[in-house]
Amino acid sequence: MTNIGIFFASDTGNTEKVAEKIATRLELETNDIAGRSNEVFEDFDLLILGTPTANYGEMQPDWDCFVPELEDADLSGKKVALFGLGDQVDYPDSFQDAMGDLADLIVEAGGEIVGQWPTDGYEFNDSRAVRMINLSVWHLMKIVNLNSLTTVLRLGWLP
Amino acid sequence: MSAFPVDGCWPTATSQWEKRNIAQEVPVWEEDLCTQCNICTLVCPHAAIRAKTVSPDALELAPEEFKSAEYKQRDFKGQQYTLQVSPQDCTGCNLCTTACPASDKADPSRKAINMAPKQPVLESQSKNYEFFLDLPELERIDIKRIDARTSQLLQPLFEYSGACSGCGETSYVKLLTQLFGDRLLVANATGCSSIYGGNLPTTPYAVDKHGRGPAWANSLFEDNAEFGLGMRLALNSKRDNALGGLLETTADFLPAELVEQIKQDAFDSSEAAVTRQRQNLSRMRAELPYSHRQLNERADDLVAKSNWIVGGDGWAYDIGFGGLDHVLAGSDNVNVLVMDTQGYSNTGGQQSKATPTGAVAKFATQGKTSNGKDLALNMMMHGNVYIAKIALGANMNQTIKALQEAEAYPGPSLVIAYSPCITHGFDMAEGVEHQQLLVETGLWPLFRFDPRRTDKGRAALQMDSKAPKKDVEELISREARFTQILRRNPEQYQANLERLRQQVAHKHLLLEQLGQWKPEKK
Repeated sequence: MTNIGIFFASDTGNTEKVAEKIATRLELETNDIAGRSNEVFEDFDLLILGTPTANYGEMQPDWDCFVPELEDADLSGKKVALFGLGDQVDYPDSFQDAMGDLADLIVEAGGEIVGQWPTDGYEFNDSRAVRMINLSVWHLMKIVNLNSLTTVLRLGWLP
Repeated sequence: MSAFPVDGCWPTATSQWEKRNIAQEVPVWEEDLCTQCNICTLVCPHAAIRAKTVSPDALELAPEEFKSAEYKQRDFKGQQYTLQVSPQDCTGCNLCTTACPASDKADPSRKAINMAPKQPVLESQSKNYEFFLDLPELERIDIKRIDARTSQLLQPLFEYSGACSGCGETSYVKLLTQLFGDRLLVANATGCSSIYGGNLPTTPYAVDKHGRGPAWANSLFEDNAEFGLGMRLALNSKRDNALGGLLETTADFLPAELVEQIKQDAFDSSEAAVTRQRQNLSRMRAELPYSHRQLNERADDLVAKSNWIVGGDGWAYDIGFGGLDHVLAGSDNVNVLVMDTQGYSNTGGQQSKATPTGAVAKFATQGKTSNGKDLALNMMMHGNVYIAKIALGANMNQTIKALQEAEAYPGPSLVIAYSPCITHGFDMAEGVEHQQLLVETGLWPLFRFDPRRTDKGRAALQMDSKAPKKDVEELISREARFTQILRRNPEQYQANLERLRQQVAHKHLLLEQLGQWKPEKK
C-alpha cells in the first residue's frame, strides 16, 4: 500500500482548497508546508505537492523558504506528482513557473516526477513547467484556477 | 538666529507637507478586480499609493467614496483591505498601473488600477487619503512571513521624495524603511539619494506612531563606506558601554533572567529580538531607581540597530571604492546597498565603471568602450562578504529575501540593486517589465552569495535567475543610451552588440562554474 503525502502552500487559500479536494478523494489529510522541515516527507512513497506562482514567475514564499530543506533532502525512491494553480490570461509569460521550479528541485533531490499532462487546451506564452518529451510537449499535472475554481483531476496514474 | 540646531540635525517627516501636486493623472482603484498582490505599492517610487489591512470596524466612519474590499489572503482572513493613492503626492509616473497584473477578463483595458485625470478626483481622494493615514498600522511582528506582498502592508518611513517620476532607486529605500525603519541608520553617499534623501529643509524620511524612524546622514562622496563603518563602531561602543559599565551594576534591582535576556537581545537585530528588547527595557526602566538614571537614558543603545551604507554606483564602483573595499574586507556587521543606475545620474549622467559597453554617457559620447565592472564578483573574492545582486521589477521576493539576509548576516553584506534611471532613455513607466527583460537577456544575472553555505557543503553562490534566454539586442534596442549609436554609426552599434553578447555568454559560464565550487561534503 503506497503511503501518500499531500503538501501545499497557499496565500489566497485556493491551492489549499484544491489540496483538500484531492485529499478528500484519497481519504487523506493535507499538510501546509509553511515552516516545515524536510522530515515531513520521510514516511511517504508518493508525494503530491501543490503550488501557485507568485508575482511574475516567482516561487510561492512558503515553498521558497523550504528550498534549503529541499536542497538537503534525499527523495530517491520517492515518486512526486505536482499540481499548480495559475492564471494564463493575466500571466501568460510566467504561467506555472513556480511548479516548474519546484519540479527541478525535486529532481535534484533525487525524486521521480510522475503524472505529467499535455498542454492541449491551454494558451500561454511561456512556462517553466513545460518539459519536452521527444516531439510532444508535456505539462506537469495541474489544475487551473481561473475566476471560479475549476478542478480537473486525473488520478489514473495512482498505483 | 537659525531655528536649526548647531550640530546640523534637522527634523524628519517633513516632506508630507510639500504636496507638490505635479501629477496630471493619478491611479484609481477598481477593488473588484484587485488580487491584492501589492505590486503597485511595492514599485511606487514615492510611497504615494499604499495598502493597509484593518478590521471592518475601523472603516465605520470612512468617507463616502472610500473604497475597501474583503481581504483575500489567509494571513489576515476576516479583515478588510484597502488601497489608497495620495493624489497630491503622486507624480503620475504610471509605474503602478503598468505593473498591475490584474485585468477585467471581459475588458482587458480595465485593470485593477487605471490612470484617470487628477482634478475631478482631487478633493475626494485627498479626503480618502487623510482617512487612510489615520487607520491603524500593522506592527512588523504581526506579520507571520514578510515577503514582497506582505511587506507592503507596513508603513513606509520614506515618502514623497523629490526623486524623478518613475525613479528606480527609491523603491529600494522605501522597502528598507518598511523592513527595518524603526531602528535604521543610513550613511548616504553624495548622489541622487543624498539629494532626495536630504534636500533641506525637508526630508522624506519619516517616523512611525511610536516616534521612531530612520536616522540619516550624508558626509561626503569618497568617504561613505568609512562613514557608515564609523556608525557601526559607535553603535558597538555605545552598546558595550551600556552593557559593561552600567548593566553590571544593576544586580540588586533587576532579576537575573531579565539582565541575561537584555544582554543577549542587545546583539540580535531580528524583529522578535528587537520587539522583546524594547519590552525588556521598559521593564528595566520601571525597576531601576534614580541612581541608575544614566542607564535609563542610554537604554536605547541596547536595542540592536540596523546600519546601512547607501549610495549609487558612482560612489561604490568609483569614487568611494577604496573605502568600500576596506569596509568589506573587515568583519564588522555593516550592510551596503548600492543602487546601480550604471552612471553618475545626479550630475547629468557621466559614465562610471558600472556603465556597460556601448552605452552613451557623458565622457563616453561614442558609447563606452571598456567593459562594465562587476562589483559583485570582485567582492566575492574577499570570501567573507554576503553579496546579492537584485532587481526589484524582475524578482520581487528575491529582493526582499536579499535585504533580509544581508541584514541578518553577521558580517559585511553588499546588495547591488539595479535601478532604472532617466539617463537610460526609455519610458520609465515600463520599469518593471524592462527589468524582467534585462534579467532574461543575462545582462543582469540575479544571485545571492552566502559564505556560510559552504559549512553545509553547498556552493556559496546561488543563482536566482535562469540562463539567458533572450538576445541582448531586445533590451538595448529599447534604451536610447544604446540606440543613439545606431543612428550615428551602425557599425559601431553592431560591434558593441557583439561585445555585449560575448560578455553575457562569458559571465554566464563563469557564474555556472562558481556555482559548482563547493567543498567536499564531510
